[in-house]
Amino acid sequence: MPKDTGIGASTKRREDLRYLTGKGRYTDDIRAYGECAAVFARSTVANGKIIGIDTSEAEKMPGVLAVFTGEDFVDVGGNPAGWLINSRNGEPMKEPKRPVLAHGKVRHVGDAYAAVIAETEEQARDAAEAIIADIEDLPAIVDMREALKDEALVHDEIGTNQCFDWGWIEDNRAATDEAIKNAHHVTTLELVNNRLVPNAMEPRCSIGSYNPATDDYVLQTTSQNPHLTRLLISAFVMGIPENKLTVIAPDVGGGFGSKIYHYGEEALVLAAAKKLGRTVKWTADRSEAFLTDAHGRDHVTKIELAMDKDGNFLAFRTETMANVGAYLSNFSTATPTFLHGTLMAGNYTVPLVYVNVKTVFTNTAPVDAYRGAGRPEATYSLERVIDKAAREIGRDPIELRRQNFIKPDQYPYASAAGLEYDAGNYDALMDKMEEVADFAGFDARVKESDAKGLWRGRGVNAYIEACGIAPSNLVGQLGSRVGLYDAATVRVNATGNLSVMVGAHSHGQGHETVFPQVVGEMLGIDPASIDIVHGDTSKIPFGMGTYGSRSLAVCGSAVVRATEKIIAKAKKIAAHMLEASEGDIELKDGNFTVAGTDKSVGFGEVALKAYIPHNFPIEDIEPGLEETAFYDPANFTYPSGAYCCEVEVDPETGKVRVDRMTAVDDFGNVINPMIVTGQVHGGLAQGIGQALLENTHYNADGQLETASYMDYAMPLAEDLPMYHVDHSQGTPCTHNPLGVKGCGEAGAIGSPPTVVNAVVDALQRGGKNVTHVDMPVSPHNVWKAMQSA
Amino acid sequence: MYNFDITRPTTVDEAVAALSADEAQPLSGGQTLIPTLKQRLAMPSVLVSLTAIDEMKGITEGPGTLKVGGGTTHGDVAQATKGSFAGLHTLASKIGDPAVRARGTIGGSVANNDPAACYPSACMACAATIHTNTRDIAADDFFQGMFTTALDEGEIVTAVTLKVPEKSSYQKFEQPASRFPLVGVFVAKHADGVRVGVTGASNNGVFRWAEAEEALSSNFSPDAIEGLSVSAEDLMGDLHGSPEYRAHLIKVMTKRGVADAS
Amino acid sequence: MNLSDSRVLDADVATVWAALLNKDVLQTCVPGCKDMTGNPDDGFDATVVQKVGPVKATFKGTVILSEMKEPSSLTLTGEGKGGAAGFAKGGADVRLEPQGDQTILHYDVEAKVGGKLAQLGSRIIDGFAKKMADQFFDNFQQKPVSGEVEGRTLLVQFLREDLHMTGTHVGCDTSQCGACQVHVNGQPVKACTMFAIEADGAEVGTIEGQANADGSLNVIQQAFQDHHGLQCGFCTPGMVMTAAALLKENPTPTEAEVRSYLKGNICRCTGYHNIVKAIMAASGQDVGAIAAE
Ligand SMILES: Cc1cc2nc3c(=O)[nH]c(=O)nc-3n(C[C@H](O)[C@H](O)[C@H](O)COP(=O)(O)OP(=O)(O)OC[C@H]3O[C@@H](n4cnc5c(N)ncnc54)[C@H](O)[C@@H]3O)c2cc1C
Ligand code: FES
Ligand code: FES
Repeated sequence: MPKDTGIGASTKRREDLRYLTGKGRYTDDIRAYGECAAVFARSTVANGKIIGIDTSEAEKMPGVLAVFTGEDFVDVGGNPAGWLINSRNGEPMKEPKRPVLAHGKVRHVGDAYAAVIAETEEQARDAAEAIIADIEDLPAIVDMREALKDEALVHDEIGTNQCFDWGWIEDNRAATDEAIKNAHHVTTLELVNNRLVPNAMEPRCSIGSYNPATDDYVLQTTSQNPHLTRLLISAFVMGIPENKLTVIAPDVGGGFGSKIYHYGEEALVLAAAKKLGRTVKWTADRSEAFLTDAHGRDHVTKIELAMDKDGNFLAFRTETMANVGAYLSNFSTATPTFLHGTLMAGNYTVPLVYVNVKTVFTNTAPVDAYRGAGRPEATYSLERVIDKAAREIGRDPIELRRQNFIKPDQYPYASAAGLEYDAGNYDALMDKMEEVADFAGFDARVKESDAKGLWRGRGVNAYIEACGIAPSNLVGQLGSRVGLYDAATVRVNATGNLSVMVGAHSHGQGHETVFPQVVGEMLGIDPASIDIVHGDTSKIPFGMGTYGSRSLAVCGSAVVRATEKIIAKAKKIAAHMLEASEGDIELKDGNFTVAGTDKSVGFGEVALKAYIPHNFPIEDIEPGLEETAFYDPANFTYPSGAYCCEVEVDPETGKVRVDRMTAVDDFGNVINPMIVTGQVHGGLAQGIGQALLENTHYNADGQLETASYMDYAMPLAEDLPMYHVDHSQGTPCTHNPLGVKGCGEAGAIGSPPTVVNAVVDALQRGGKNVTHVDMPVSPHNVWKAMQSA
Repeated sequence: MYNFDITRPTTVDEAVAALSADEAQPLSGGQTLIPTLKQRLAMPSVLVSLTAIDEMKGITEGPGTLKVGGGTTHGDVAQATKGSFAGLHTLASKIGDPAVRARGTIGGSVANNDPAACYPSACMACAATIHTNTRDIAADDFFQGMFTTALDEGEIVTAVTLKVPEKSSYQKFEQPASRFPLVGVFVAKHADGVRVGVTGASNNGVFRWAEAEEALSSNFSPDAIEGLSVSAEDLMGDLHGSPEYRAHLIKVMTKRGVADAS
Repeated sequence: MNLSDSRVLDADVATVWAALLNKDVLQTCVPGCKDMTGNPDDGFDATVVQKVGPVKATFKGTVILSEMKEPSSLTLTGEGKGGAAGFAKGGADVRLEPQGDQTILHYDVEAKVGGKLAQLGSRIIDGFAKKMADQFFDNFQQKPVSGEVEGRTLLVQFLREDLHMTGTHVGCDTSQCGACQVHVNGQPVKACTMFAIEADGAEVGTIEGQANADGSLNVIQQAFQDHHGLQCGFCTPGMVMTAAALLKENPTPTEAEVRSYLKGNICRCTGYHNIVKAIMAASGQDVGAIAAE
């Protein structure tokens, strides 16, 4: 029986108390004395040459304190890409400067070319409207195929719209081509991975302040990783020394990737704070979020699967165009490459994989990692083409997958796409999925749907992802410009309670509850006496934040290591107190005992002693009880899963309803099942949203037509079913101390192909020979597919 | 928002007087107007709030009619028509969400005449009369195309009187994002014939589907319109549905409405 | 001297609490107050003109709010210096107690004066202090929530900017997300789509007033915690307020009814499963069957 507070317990979240009573403290909730407001003037055209920006009227408007334009930032740096990718020919990627405010050219609708600081937001808005921008409208570059013709350029100085042309694994290219040429059967599928807007419910917000007496800056901002933001601002954009800049990410209302990155607005409020000696705040409204938050996905892909006559997979070959938008956001170059190409062997023993990715600049908002980042793209391509292949060769889609699965005795397994999977059991996941999804009752449900005039279909999938995004060594070889370790400091206070400072940032994931479960269990003390500190660079060690399902696998491991150091030191102190030898001290239930005796001291007494080190052997033991650990894992972690979706399609209208959604995942060990289940739910909703509803549409002029919830369809409660979630089939990760794998993205990775597979199945059962419908599988798209089938 | 003043008169007369100011605009539930103001897409000098005018609120039954005050909220209409006027009940209880229904009003809806608004279809199908502070206007004359009505500057919709049909149904096929109707069809069977109001679909705003009305008046069954089709010409096309798709949906929704009402 | 009294106010506890923290309300309630600046966290600076017996002086002083236990109690302390007239110090411990839709406000006032004022004699001082306190709370009773509202101030801005009640959030500009959902006269309303002026005289309920009087979570809030119905918490206040409105209208909703009622509330984190579950659990229904994991 799990205890209700330790590892494996569904401990209720302590952070809920403040959120449920209106006492959360999100960035926009913070009010400073003398605060003033920043509002940005943003381009209304997708591509334009800035002839001149006249701010003189705006400057005279009531309440206006300052107006900034791109001119003010020509001497500071640009916001860099965090990952250097080389093209197939060895050339480094093209990396145009991304300035704080547009200079020379505006490159997407929403690109900021000026900012007004005024006493109130409405005054700043009034003044922003009074700025006269002379911008020569140029033809917009929107479509990737067109862009690659280089007839017009997003960035003139780089001479091309192609950022890079990447091959993976380049050495396998010829062999893959050969395998496809000679295969018994090749299934080909062209598909679009639709562009999405992350839509964290809290819009971005940044508050800059500056103390001229100490030359200290503080940035309070909606960030998933404050240290990285500080590093980027310090080392690349503004040159503010790191020791003079504190970045604080308070309560953050969701991120899903969009708040990993540094944005120009953060630099602007700092510059303005310095110039004015006032606290400057900017809060995005939802339209700005649509126009300027980094978007996700946007791949156009052709995938081929080669099989022998028995259905054994021989090769996957993929050609993808990936949109990076107008500028390179911080991880935009890693997402379509190393987070995508390396997963293109899936859960399968396929011997050859080749992926070609061309990344393309367009006059659209930057595109970067969004929940899943690269792995949903990989999974979608693989699991859709496998489904199509099964239909083509007349095989059961599950049997075909099982036949090609890596088997449990094959680990560690070197995949054809270059990763070494450490553990997994895909057949066990499939078995469990068939049970949880109630395969037995499917035929009866088909009949029920028939009676209602609806077509029922079932889709399945198997996915693997690489997460706990880390090994610095590995990511460094692959082009990362940052390390991806994490860090934790465990401070035992004199009275025996603990403050644990972590590099991960919680914006819904429940770290404040889960990390104490781990530490409490290790020390044998009540987690209620342990507090987590996160999100403030002046308080926490230099960690890399939260994304890529990495918090527990990487930062949690750092917490374990730091706690181990605490235990080791506490044992020394206890040995001293008990006049015993260190090796004889055992820690059990929060007490240090001399093995085989009843001599013991409590954890609290040891803590107190550490800070009142009277007659300490100071040559052996330093006073205090505080330890820091940096943890850099040996490998990614590899969660995997088997999903099933049942839909009902209305043949008259094309409307699809998800009736049952089953997710069986292998997350390794699970610390708090309640939270893990919640993470899967959220991912499923976003995945179903991508599959059925969400789409970001720029028209030919580069205008964003889906710039509000009036046209961008968000999944609502009504659109979704109760989910069936299981994580009983965990195979622990072999290389981190907790044996955990990460669960934040799984739902969003596994669900889109499952849903689309189910829709195709329903249409087929209804007698329509539809083999593919692009996402979102909206009523209109389904109806069109039925019309042409 | 640009700056403006708000007044809260308590009678229609006071409101009409207040509306004579330059650039004055009525404010009812605000569920359309306030988002517009927030985007700085409207620049009134004065908003004349109609929400404190009691004489514009409430629902009264007449012989075969239902008179709904212009300031009556969707929520109140839904409540009052439960069990007695199926089509109108469904329509009102499906507008937006509970909070929109708690504020939004029938007067605001018909005055705004959004091409995807629900109420205009009921007004057309239930031969409604739109009452203003100066005159009564038949629905057929009142709605004059997208966002256009017969209202003059400063004229207020004080009430709407609908003819209560023998049977009625409202079928709303939602646009996936806004959840307004992509196509909404109001089918009303009156003693003297069937009327079908269609919203969400046309570039010219709400309209009546005359052929279906004729066919259904002689045979009120889904089969009666099986052979008919709607021309896609002049129907709206956007991200969420082509004109052809909307044309198709009009027929499907009408059939469902008839089946539901029968 | 000490004096205690109580008043019944025609507003719920959250509304009264918010008013106590509102500069504009305080300014109009402090007898003789000519000007007030500041905020509840850092305190207020006030200029007050007072006439006591023969003395008429302009006091410059501060008002500090402390011992805040939202939404049930706080201490108001004021100190004013009136130049030659002396000084006046006063504190009031205020306690709020819900009574149906109303609120009972209890107060214990302690006053100290010095300088010329003190020399007027304790009889006058006590009477004066009582008069001041009574006047303050009389004024306050009249206007639980008010303040000068600019025409274009939305209810949500009024709550967040003027009353510093930041539990009500803003998540969109098209009135679709529900992060701003509050109650106006018991009905669910999007505070971003209503002008503050239109709430004049109405009873506004917000997330800050949902907890039980002892500060513990109410049934709905508790169900959200028990069933993990929130992650980042941003949509949560709106969800809780919507759920409360639903359960008032429909005490035992079906799953479909819950989902339909949440049409105007977007959550990006939870996938809704646990929100629906929490609301049904809060209605007293057994959720094991409908929401198997
Ligand atoms: C999230 C959301 C979802 C919605 N979904 C739907 C839906 O599914 N179907 C649907 O039909 N509607 C929908 N609506 C719109 C809603 O019904 C509005 O309430 C309605 O369209 C306008 O009514 P109102 O009282 O809010 O008017 P307001 O917004 O106050 O005013 C709208 C316009 O009408 C004018 N006006 C208002 N009252 C009068 C009057 N009495 N006389 C003359 N002019 C007047 C105003 O000046 C303004 O130009 C939705 C709105 C929102 C925010
Ligand atoms: S902020 Fe009010 S509905 Fe979104
Ligand atoms: S909990 Fe984050 S939006 Fe709902």
